[in-house]
Amino acid sequence: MIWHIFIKDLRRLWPIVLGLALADFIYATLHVMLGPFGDHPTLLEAASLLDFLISGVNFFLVVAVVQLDPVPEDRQDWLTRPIKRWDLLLSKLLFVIVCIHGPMLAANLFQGLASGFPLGQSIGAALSWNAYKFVSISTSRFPGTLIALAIAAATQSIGQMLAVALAAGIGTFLVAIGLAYMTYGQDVGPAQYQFSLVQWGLSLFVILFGAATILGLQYFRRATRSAYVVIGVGGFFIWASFLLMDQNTALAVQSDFSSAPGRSISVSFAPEEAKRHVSAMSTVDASFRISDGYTPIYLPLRVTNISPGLMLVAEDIHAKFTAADGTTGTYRTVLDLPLHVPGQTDAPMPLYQVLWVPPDFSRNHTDQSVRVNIDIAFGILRSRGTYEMAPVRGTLQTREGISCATRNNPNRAIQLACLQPANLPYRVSAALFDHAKGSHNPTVTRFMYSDAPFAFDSDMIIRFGSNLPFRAADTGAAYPVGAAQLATSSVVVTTSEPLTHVMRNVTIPSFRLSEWKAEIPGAEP
Amino acid sequence: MMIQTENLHKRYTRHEALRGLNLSVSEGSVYALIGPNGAGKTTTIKLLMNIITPSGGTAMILGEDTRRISPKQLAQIGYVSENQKMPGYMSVSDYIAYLRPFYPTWDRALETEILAQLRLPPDRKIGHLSHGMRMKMALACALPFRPKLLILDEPFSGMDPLARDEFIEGLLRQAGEMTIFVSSHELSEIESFATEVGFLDDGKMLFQESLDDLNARLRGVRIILDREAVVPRQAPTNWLDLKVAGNVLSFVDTQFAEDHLNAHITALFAGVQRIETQPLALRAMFTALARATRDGRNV
Repeated sequence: MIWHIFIKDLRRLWPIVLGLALADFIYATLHVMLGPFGDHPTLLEAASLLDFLISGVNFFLVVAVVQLDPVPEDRQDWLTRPIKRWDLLLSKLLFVIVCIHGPMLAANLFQGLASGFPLGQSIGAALSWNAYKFVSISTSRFPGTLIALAIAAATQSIGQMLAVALAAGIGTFLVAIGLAYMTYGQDVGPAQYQFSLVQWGLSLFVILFGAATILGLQYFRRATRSAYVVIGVGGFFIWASFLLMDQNTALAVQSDFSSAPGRSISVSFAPEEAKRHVSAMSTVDASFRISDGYTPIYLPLRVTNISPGLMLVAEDIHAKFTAADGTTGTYRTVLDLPLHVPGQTDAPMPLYQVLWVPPDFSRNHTDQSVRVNIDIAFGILRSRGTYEMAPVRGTLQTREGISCATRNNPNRAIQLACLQPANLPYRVSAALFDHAKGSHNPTVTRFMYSDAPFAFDSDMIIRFGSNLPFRAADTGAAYPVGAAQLATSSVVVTTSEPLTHVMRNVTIPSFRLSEWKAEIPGAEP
Repeated sequence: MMIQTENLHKRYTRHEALRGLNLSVSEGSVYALIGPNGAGKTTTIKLLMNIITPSGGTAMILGEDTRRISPKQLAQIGYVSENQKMPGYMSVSDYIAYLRPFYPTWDRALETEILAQLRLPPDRKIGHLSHGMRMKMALACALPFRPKLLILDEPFSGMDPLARDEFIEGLLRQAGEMTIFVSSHELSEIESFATEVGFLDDGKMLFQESLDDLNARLRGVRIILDREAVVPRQAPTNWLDLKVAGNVLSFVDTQFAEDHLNAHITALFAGVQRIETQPLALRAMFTALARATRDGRNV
C-alpha cells in the first residue's frame, strides 16, 4: 500500500513537485552559467534567491506531505482504517526521496556533467550532497529533510509547525544565551568555526537518532508529548556540542582516532629569531584592534620533526597571559598561522604568530615578566599532486577531481578559480613560476578550514579561488613574475589532503610584552 | 463477544473520563451507549478504536486487545463519527477509490448501491459537503466492505431530520448480520433500532440491559383516585419518579408485573378509580433510571 498512498499524495501535491523540479534545474543551470569564476552579480543574486526559495519550498513540501495524514490529532480518518503504520511512514519517505530529492539529484547530476566533471564524480557528488541535505541541521536557513520530517510528524498543521519552529527558535536562542553566559570567560569552544569532524558527526548522529526516535514515537505510539521532549533534548545536545565542547578537545578526539603521522611534531618558542612587523594583509583587523588598545605581539615559533611530504597549518591558537599577581589575559584566533610547506624555499621558518594582548592586561603589565601559555591545534596535510596550467585562459582538471581556470586581472594579478564537486574539504596552493628565469612568486594557499564535508553548504559544487598578485600587498614591491613575464610563466597548483590534527602547547615562563611588541606599518605610535 | 471491557479507566491530566467501565456487546446486537454530553461515550469509542490508550483496565474488540488491534481487525470494523476528519481536498469518489484497496472484502456493487441510496455527489470535494452529507459520506465509507462491527459515535449530531432519516434508512438497509455499537444522546433516534442499551454517566456505566427487557419491566403507571393523591410513605423501591397532580399519582415501575402492581396499589391506596399502565419511551426510561441511580438506588 506504500505506492498507493504515495500516488494519493502525489495527486495532491504534483504542481509543487513539478515547480520545485523546474526550480532545481534552473538553479543548476545558473551555476553552470556562472562557471568557476562565479562573478556575474545578477546570476549570483538570482542563484542565491532561488537557493533560498528552493530550500523553503523543500521544507514546506516535506511538512505538507506528512500532514496530508497528520499524526498527532485523534480525529483523523486514517487512524481507523486498516493502514499499516509502516506503510504510511514509508510512503512519506518515498515521496520525499522521489519527489524532492529525486529532481534535486537529477539537477545536481546535470550541474556536475555540464560543469565538465566526469559521470562517476558527478554521480558521487550528487548522491553525497543529497544525503547531506537529507540529514543536515539546516540548508539555506531551513531545516534539513529529516528534521522537517520529524517536526511535521509531531505537528498537525502548517500553523502548528510554525509555532513549534518559533518556540524551538526562541528556546534555542535562550539556551545559546544561557550557555554563553555560563561559559563566559572560560576556555570552551568557539566551535562555530566548524573545524571538527567530531562536532559535525555528533550533530548528525543526534539528528539521525533524534529524528528516527520522533518518527517512531509518532507513527507507532503517537506519543506527541514525548516527541516534543526529544525535539527539545536533541536541539539542546546539538547546541551544546557546538557551544560547550572545547575545540581543542574535539580535535584531540579526532586525533586519537587517526593513525596518520604527525605525533612527533614539536613546537617551541624561538626567542633567538628577530622581531617582525605585522603585515597589513595578514591581520585584517589590525587597525580596529589597535584603536581598541590591543597590543600586537609577533611571536616566533619553531616547529620541528615534520615528516617529509607533510604540511602543517595552525587551525586554532589560544594564548593565555598570566602576570605575577595572578591577573590573566587571553587571546584566541583561528587560521592565523601561515601554512608550512617543507622543502619550499620561501616556507616561513620560524612561524610567526600574531597575538593580540587585551588592553587591560597590556596596560598594566607591559614591562613586567609574564607567563605565556599557548595551545595550538595543528592540521596535518599531505601533498597529493602538482599541476601546471597556463596563467591566462588556462584550464586544469586534477586527479583529485578539482577543476580550475585562470584569467588575467590586468596589471594586478592572475585570477585562479576552481570548482570541486562534493563540497569536501580542500587545500590548494598555487604560485606563478617563470620558467625562463627560474623564479617564482610567493605561494598562495586556499583551503576550507573544516574537516566536515559540506561544512559550508551553499552548493553541491564548491567554488574557490585566489588572486596570484604581481606585487606585495603591504610594500608594493614587485614580485619576480609580473605581467611582462606571463608568456614564459605558468601557474603551478599543488593539492593536498587533510590527514589529522595534533594539539601542542608552548609555555614561555618569562616574557616581557614590551620586548616583543610588533611594529605596525602605517599605524599611529 | 464483539466488544468487552473490564474495569476500563481513562484519566486525562485533571479529569477522569472513564472510571472502571464494564461493557459487553454480543454478536449481532445493536448496542446503544447513551448518556449526557461529557459522560465518556466518545472516550470509550476512541479507546475501542485504539485512537487513545487506556489508563487502566482492558478493552477487547473482535477478540483482540484494543492496544494491539492490527489492520486485520480494522478491516472488519466500520467507523463513523461526528468528529471524523476526512481529507477535505479529495472528492467523494476519489476518497472511496483511495480506501477501496485497503479492504479485502470491499464490494463495488454495494458501494454503488450505497452511494446512490445516500445520494452523495461523487465529484464534490469532501470539504465542500454539509455536515449531514459528511456523515453520510462517512457511512458510505464504512459499509461497502461489509464490516462485522460498525461503530457509530454520535452519528445524528447536527443532522437535519431528512438527512437523519436517510442516514438511518441507509444504515438499516445494509445492517444485515453486522453488530452495531452506537453512542448517542439522541434517544428518540436510537430507540428505533437498538436492541441493547447502556447508560453511561460521568465515566461510569449506570446499567446496561436489552431494550426488550427494559420494555418488559418498565411501565409508566397512573393511578386515578377519588380523592386528593398523596405519595405513600412505604412506596416500593421499584417505583421511581413519583409525582402527584390533584387526584392522580404517577410513577415509573421498574419491575412491572400486573398482579404485583395491583396488589401493591390495593394495599397502599383507598378510593382507586382507575389504573393506567403504558410502555415508556427510551427517553422516559433513561430519565427515571438515571435519576434513581444518581440517588444511589438500585434499579
